[in-house]
Amino acid sequence: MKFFKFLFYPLFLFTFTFSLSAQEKTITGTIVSSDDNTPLQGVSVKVTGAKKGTQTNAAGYYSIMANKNEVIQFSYIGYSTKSHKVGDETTHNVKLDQTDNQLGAVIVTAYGIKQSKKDLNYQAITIQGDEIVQTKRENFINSLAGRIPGATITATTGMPGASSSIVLRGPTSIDGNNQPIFVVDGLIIDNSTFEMQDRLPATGGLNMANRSNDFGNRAMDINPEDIETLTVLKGPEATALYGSDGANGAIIITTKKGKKGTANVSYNTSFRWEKVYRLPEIQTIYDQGAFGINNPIARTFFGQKIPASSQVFDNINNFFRIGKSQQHNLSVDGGSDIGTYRFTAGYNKQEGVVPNTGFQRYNFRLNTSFKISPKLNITNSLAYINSRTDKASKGTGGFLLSMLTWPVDDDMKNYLDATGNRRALRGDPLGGAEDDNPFWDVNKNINYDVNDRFTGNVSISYDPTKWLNFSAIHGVDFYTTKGTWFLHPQSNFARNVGGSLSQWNENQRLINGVYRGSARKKIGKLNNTIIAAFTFDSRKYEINSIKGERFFDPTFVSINNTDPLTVASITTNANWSRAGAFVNYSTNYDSWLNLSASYRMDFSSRLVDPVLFKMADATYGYWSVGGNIIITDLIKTLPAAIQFAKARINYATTGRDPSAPYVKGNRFSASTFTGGGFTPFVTQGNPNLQPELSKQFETGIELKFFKNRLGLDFAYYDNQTKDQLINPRISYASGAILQWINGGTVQNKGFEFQLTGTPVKSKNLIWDITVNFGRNRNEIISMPAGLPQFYNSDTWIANIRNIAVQGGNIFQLASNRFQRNFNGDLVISQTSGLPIQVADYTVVADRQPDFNIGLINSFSIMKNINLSFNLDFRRGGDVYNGTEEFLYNRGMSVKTLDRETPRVIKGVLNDGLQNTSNPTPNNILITPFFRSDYYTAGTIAEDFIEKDVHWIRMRDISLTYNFPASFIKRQRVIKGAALTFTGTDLFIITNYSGADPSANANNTSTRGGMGGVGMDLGNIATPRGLIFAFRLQF
Amino acid sequence: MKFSKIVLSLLLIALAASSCKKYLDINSDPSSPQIPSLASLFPPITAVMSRTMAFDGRFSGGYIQNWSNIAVNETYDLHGGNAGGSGANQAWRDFYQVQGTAINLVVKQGIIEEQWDYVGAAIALRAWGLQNATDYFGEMPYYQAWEPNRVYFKYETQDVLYKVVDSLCRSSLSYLNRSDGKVNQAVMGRGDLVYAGNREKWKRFVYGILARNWHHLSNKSEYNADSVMSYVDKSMQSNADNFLIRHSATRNDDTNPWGPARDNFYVRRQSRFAVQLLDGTTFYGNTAAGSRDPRLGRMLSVSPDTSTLNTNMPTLNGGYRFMLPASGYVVGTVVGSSAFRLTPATLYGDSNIVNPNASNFAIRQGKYLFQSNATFPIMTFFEMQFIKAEAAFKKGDLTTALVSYKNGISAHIDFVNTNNASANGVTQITATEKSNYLASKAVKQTDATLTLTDIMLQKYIADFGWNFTESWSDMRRYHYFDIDPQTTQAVYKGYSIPIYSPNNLGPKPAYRFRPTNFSEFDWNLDELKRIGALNQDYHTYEMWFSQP
Repeated sequence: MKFFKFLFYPLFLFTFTFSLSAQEKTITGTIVSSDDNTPLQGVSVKVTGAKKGTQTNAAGYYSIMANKNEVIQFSYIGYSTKSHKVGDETTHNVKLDQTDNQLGAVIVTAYGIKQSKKDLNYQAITIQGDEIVQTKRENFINSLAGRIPGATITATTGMPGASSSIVLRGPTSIDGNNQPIFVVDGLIIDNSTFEMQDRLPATGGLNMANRSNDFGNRAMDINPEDIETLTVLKGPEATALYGSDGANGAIIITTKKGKKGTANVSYNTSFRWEKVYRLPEIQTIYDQGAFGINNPIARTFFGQKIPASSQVFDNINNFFRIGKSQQHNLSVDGGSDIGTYRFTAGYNKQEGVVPNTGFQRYNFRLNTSFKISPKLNITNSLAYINSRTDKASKGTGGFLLSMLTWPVDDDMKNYLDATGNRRALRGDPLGGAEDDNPFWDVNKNINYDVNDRFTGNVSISYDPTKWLNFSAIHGVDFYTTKGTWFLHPQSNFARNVGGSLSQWNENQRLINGVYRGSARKKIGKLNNTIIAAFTFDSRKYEINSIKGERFFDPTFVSINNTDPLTVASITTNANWSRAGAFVNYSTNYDSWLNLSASYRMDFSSRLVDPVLFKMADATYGYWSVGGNIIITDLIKTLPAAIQFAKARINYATTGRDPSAPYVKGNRFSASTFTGGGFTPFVTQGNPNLQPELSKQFETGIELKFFKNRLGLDFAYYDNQTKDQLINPRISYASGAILQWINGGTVQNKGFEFQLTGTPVKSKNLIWDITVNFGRNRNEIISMPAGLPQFYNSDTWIANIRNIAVQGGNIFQLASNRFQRNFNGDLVISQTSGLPIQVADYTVVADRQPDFNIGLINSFSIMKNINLSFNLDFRRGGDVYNGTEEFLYNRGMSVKTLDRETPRVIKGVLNDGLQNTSNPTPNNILITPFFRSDYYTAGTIAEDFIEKDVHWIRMRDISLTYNFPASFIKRQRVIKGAALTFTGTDLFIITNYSGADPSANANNTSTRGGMGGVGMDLGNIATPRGLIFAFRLQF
Repeated sequence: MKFSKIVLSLLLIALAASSCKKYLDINSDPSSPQIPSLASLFPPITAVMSRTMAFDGRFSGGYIQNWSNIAVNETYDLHGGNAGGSGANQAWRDFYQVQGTAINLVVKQGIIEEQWDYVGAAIALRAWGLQNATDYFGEMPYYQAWEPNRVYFKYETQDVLYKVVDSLCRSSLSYLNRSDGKVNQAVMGRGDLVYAGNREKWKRFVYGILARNWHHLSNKSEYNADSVMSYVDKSMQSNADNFLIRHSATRNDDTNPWGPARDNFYVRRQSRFAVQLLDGTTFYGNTAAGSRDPRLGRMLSVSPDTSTLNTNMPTLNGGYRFMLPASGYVVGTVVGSSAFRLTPATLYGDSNIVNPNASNFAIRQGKYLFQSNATFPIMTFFEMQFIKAEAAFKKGDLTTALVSYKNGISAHIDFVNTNNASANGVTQITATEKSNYLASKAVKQTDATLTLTDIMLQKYIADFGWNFTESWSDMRRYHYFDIDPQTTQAVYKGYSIPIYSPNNLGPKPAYRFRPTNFSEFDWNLDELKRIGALNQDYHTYEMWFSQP
């Protein structure tokens, strides 16, 4: 890191030694966009009638020689052209007004490079911050659903503070991270989700494999109110520039900056009410028991019918509450020609639909910008975030499944007995395994995380000459998370260890920087740009975790309250550093042809041998090429209806290092056996690891018709990721349980388009439609080392798990199956009359959707009313309904209500003739009422795969009323006011029978493939929300 | 100007090279060592052995009927296999991973550091691990194991693996015989929790492995009783040489797997076969107080109801109820119910029907091997004496056989006493009790009356609760039901398998475990197919070692 500082500063100083020798009158100035004061790069500056012309540099700076009274013309695609008649002045600054949001947008690509969207060789979708804000989501990632073609967004649960994953175009890695990087104001920030296995488990029945607990994904710390624009880079060239993690795409966020002028104060607030939606249905006819015999302590419901005289309780509705949340945001911004500032403070408080769950967040951000000299600009950004999430259990053993299998003739609300102890159905608060009463669980088991985060960066931009720019960004992203998981001594989870407390402190510090030089020079008709940059990212990560058991006092939450003999602690580190150097050359010929090529070299500590350092190990390089033709500029004779047409093509390779550090060498962990010492890690390192390589191809067209009222941006892509870095369970004969290996190729190909249209554009009504379409086909072309199959054990839930097999795709699920004869008939056991299970994990489901469509309609009525809604369609893709299987196995599913009907399972008997041409048809009659094993041994996970699940969801609908100027003018304090009503997740129309097909049985820290996405077990659907918001500007 | 620029550039390049290394060379984990010292690597290699033995012993203990399950028709009671390789497979994992990888490093580093004592001990443990594992699984990868970059592994046949164990033992001895280099008892003692760095004791352990290895071939024509006896003579000289795994019993992982805190015996209760060996049924034909072995109350548990007869205690034997194989027992859930009283107690101690207190490591609870802080034997003097007795008997040297047989019984009684010294409320076997028993009808007094049955049953008692692989190997050598020509009854008198699992495809007892499901069924499926491990009755295939 020091090296880069050293390298940079001298370079920086050199630049001062340049001097310009102006011999005639020179006009200089800066050209900015009128809406946000961002400098415009590549604005054409011409003296009319003369051949003299230039372009602005990255800082929007231009310099041109002209005589008095000559007219200078400033033109830029998407902006209105402006002219200036030269007088006596030597500087002239210009603000250009945007004419068209789609075409002219200057978008921020890799490392803060601002580019005209027109020049890009790849698809880049931009979303305005306002669109994100109006959905009022605490985790802004959820608001992106439907707004980005080809993006899959999955919230882990509908609970406060839940993590959310985003995958662009398709999962590239069987076992690595598949999420894009998040870049805020030019620098990568951390979006990790806490990995449960990094800390000491709370002993007991709780599963640690990222299933029973969720931790937020850290990008959710960003206050949506601070987002100016969000650009999604999926294309090869853009991602290649970002190096290792860019292979999955990049989400580029630009935060709002202050605007020149007097202080502008705005305050907005919103209130939301949430109600639980789409709960699984349960039967209320049959009582607890098995084989038709009542058993009041069983949690299976295969007993007699509940007598009509019994009181039946609505336990489920008694449990949930109306969720409430409020948001307050205050922002102050202003500035002068020298500097601008913007300060925001935000407060969010959410109380979830599940008692005692909630999310609370404070956000502060200060963005400033100072012009030290006409050539030197400094911008700063500082943000502090504090958040707290109070959580409930999830998945197996969690509150939901316990609630769904709570006897309906028992009042679940009574979770304490007369003495204040846990009231268990078995009568004995400490006896036997019995899932916690959900009320007990959410009231007595305490589970929360508190996060404090600071991010900040300083950016310096210097323009020594009109064609040269140097810039440097330095940033830090620091956070600390404190987690507490307290399991009451009477809780089922910890009853046999006398209570359990697990606490951890997670410290993450990411320091990064980008040093960039860019030169822009026009030679003849060629407009050349060279960008060279150095980047570095250095991360230090540490988790200190401690656990204790056997509480002295059953309720006091402190490690000091545990038996010292049970206290254990562990430290986990993950430090890595990366550096990159890249150079990009692009040229524009006669305004219709753009060509670009780049090369990047990366250096990653994760590839270095821990004992013997070799620079060559750490180093890997890759490149990209691309080009586009603006047909409308090349062929001037196109029909008038076509305003713009562009064809683009792009190819890039990207290298990627392993997703974890310390995997080149072997490690040893502290032994917990008598005598201590060190014992080999279950994961073995591999000194031969090579970087993974992605090859990405994209081609597409952009079209604008009918005075820009209809637009299409189409992209076709074909990406392959070779030499995958995966960490499979390996033959123990290797000496390890898991080992890192290279190998295997995954392909994602598909197409995406964004269709924009304005069907109505009149004085009083503007109707805009955006259609985002994405279709991806994933294929595992080859498996690493010919591995027959691979799965991440986190996803092994019930009897189903992810599976990667050659020729399959990453979205597939595998489960046990029933034995079948050569004819495909079920083979039925002669003794039980039930099918015979085969413990042979084979592919049973494909979660990959056929396509996704986001449909966004926006109406602007009478200039001060806005109505917009976002409909999200999905076609196809299987979902595992684990909740239903759980209920079915326990006789709580409504599908078990026909249990008194005798039946013969269609199949052939396992009598030795099953594989002959004349098998014996099964003739064993089963009345499930007396044979509750019909619902357990007679069924497998495969039966609960719901094929081809489609949905239409109303992600959000928003109606805004802006108080008219005439109304505002009556007083002086308020400059603007707006009222908004928003509904989120109001409805879902789907053929899925369970709660929410957009579910995740893990959380987003599960690596690889699609994790637990499309596996629905013990999750609640995202609740429906109604929001009332009010905005005031002073 | 120009010159200074060149100098500056060169300086920058030099700086870049050195800073780059500093910046990037951070790929070693600060919280876990990459090459630990031998003294820190060695303790877990031995400490894991009690887990290796106990975890699989839960299941093989069912085959040999140390215990039977409270569930009806439980798989292992029916001699069913570990279907799909699940369940019984700890030895597989520990041999290759926990012990395997660490042993590789100890040997590699030990040779570099000239610590031949560590190297010899590590190789001895590999020999032990392979002997134990192949006796469970038969064919296993060996020559290709631990090979970097290899993902598929060839399975070696058992005759090869037996030779490998023999060679490993000899290699181990050659290192243990060295006293040059950095060999130092105190240095090794820091990591050696078993013998505190005493190389002589390690050598005795190695000879013990050789004795087991050679003795398992008793059905073969090349069986050499003299060699076996000579290995025994060079092995443990007394109980002081026993290879024991200690447990500090402060938390889950460092406690004895057989202790009450780990609760492995809620579903497993003392079997009829085991109880009847000690209560007089097998040796006397009656269970009168005088016919009972003094070890009965010191090894097994008594139930709250000592006088109500039922199928779990058909005669009055002092309350030592047992579980019949396969028949199971529905345990009453309400304390005090009659079903509860009539249930065999868990092995943790008298009257404990249910787990006394999971996770309570501090209290002195349980008896014999079934205490949280009890040592877990891996190899003992008395086991060796029984091997010698059997070898001598087969050779026809009945005098030696009788002496070794009696030595074995006597030493085991001493061992029971030692283990019960700290047990709460368990009395010691007095010298009188011991001498009375040794002189009783249960113990053969003359060469002429000594039978194979006597040796094998006394060995079974001595191996009860810890030496599952050996007990099972013994039973497999006698095919469970082989007849003792002298008694014309089965050597394992009283042992029966009432029902066989349907997976056995006939009344065939179990002879092996399947390789582990976790890795082998994914990676080495071709090898599994080749050796037949996918066949439903694979677990009934007789192993090479017990075949003639």
